[in-house]
Amino acid sequence: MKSYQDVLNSCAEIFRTVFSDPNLLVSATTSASDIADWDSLAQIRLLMTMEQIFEIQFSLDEVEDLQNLGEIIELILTKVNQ
Amino acid sequence: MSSEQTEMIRLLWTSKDRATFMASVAGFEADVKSNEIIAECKIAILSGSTTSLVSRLLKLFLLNNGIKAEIFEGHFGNFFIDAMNPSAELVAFKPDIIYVHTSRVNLKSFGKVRDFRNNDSSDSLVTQEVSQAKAIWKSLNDRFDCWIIQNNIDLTPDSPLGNSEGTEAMGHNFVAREINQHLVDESKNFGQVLIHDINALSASIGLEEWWSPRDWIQYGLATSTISHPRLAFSLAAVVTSILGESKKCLVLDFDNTLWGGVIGEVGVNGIELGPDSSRGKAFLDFQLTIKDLVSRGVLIAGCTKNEKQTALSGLSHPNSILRPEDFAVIEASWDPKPVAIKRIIETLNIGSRSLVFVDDSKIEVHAVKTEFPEIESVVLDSKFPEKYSSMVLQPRYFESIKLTKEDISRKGTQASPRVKKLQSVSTYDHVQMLRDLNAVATIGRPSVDQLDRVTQLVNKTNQFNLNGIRRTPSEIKRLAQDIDSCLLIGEFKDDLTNYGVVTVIGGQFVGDYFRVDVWVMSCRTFDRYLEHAMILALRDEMSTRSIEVLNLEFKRTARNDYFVNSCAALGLFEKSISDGSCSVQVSNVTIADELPLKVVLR
Repeated sequence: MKSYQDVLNSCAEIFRTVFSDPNLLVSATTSASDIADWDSLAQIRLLMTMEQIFEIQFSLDEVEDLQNLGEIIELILTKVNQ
Repeated sequence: MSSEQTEMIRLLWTSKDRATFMASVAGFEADVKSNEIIAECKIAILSGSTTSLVSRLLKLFLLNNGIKAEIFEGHFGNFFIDAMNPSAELVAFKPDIIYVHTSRVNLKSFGKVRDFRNNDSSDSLVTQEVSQAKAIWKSLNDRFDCWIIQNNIDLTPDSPLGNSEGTEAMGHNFVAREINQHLVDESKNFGQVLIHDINALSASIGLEEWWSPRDWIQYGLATSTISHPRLAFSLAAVVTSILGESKKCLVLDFDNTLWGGVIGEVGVNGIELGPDSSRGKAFLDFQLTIKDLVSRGVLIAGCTKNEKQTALSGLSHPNSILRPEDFAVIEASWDPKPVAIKRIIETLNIGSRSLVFVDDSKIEVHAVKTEFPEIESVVLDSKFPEKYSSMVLQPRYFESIKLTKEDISRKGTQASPRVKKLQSVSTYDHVQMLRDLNAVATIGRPSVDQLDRVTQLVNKTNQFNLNGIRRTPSEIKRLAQDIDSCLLIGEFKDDLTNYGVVTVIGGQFVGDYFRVDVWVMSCRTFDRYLEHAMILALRDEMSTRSIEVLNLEFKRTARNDYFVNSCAALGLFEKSISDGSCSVQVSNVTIADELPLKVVLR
């Protein structure tokens, strides 16, 4: 069973890699408006890396309306703990 | 190129690593930022589908090749309008290169139901597409004096008609191939149109990976995200060649690169090259690859640590595809490779940046990289010679936009040297390079289970060999164990490689001297000052018995010139030495000050 905190930690690491910023801090409320480089391209890379790290696959509709990192984590949790 | 950048290229060839690659794009961008810029160019991308990803990766790979690109991206899917009626921004941008980023998703028939009752309609489909491409090229040609790179059409992984997709007039793949053939034919009527063969690229990646319905539907990407690095890499190779920055000369090591084995050790009849063994076939295959490069105008240079005659004898092996006359220059000597490469650069009068150096030895590649960071260097793993060709071809160093008559007639020694300013080359410091590698020689008497290796080394080593006399296992055992004998072995490692047991010296205490009967060293550790370390260790053994005279039982063989030169450098004897015993006070031996290796006596 992965906890919310486990997934948050892994996601934070993914964010730091994708945005190439070792000091980047993220939380559940972090959204695209908080990170200047978070464009559609970054979105692709974030989701792709998450799929690889957590060995899951997002479906088309699931990723359509994600508002912030908290929602992404919730989505990942439902998948990894199925 | 830094090691991170080499790693970046290495990640491109399997899909799993490409996913890692995509995650690390930002990191790679930081790495290549500091690259020396040798050329700049402006590229306009006319969009057939989403271009932001290919644009970003293209910049990255170009920077990796030393090219700074400024990129203009047209609006999504707007390639036709942008070409026929360029916006003011595009005109003001003044591109050097326009990339028409289309693919099968831009065919007028894409996503439409086919009319199988009307088979002839495929003809008009092909004509329509080709005419559109021609109209685009003409319009761009009229307005911009620049190169145009045009994608051709990729195949579909989904085949409702099965095999008939490729054979029936209405088949997707049949139509794609027809269009592609026409695009190539028509492009020849335009001076500056290049067809970018995504059809071949997608085949090499695998269509099921190349096409991702999800990436298409969700992001409008006509190529899957993880195929993008390969797409951009291929484009970067084409752009690099348009700018004239492709590599021009392949510098080749000989032993274990062009053939299996060390020719100085095994002789021309002992090398692996030819149809009789799997390894021999693999080396033959690599030679064929190189010959192919030569025949289309790539210069090749030999860079081998060998006597010149010995090196040339390998090229006259009956199975050798490469001949001495294929080489623009052959540097065969015992000099460090950076020194030999400097001479190659001078002889060919070519920029060092135009070279690619390949060798199976990590240390040689390390030495060359240290001295010439701008030279692309490839380490070949001689355990897997079957991979050599792809290691040299995959990075597309020698891309050429169009083969010219000059390319085809340029060959070997007839190469007309380009007049190019020679980059200044600092004096190569071999000793410092070795010192930086933290080499350690561990010297002592062999354990019982090391004796097999000792016997093997003594019986197969030719170049660094005191007398060429072969020994049986029991003779070696006696040398190792007799009370009046002494046998020392040297194990060697550095930051790059652990070589294991590579050198042996041994003989008998006779009266007031030590008689050396056996002294060999593997050619893999030549020029590492290991012979100095062995003499140091032997001197220790002798001093415990208060013996001060060394007596060498020397015999000149067909192949031990290297040994003679090394011992002359140590002051053990003159180069002109003749066969027989030769004595020297061990205190008179010239051991180098501050050896570039740590000697551990155990």
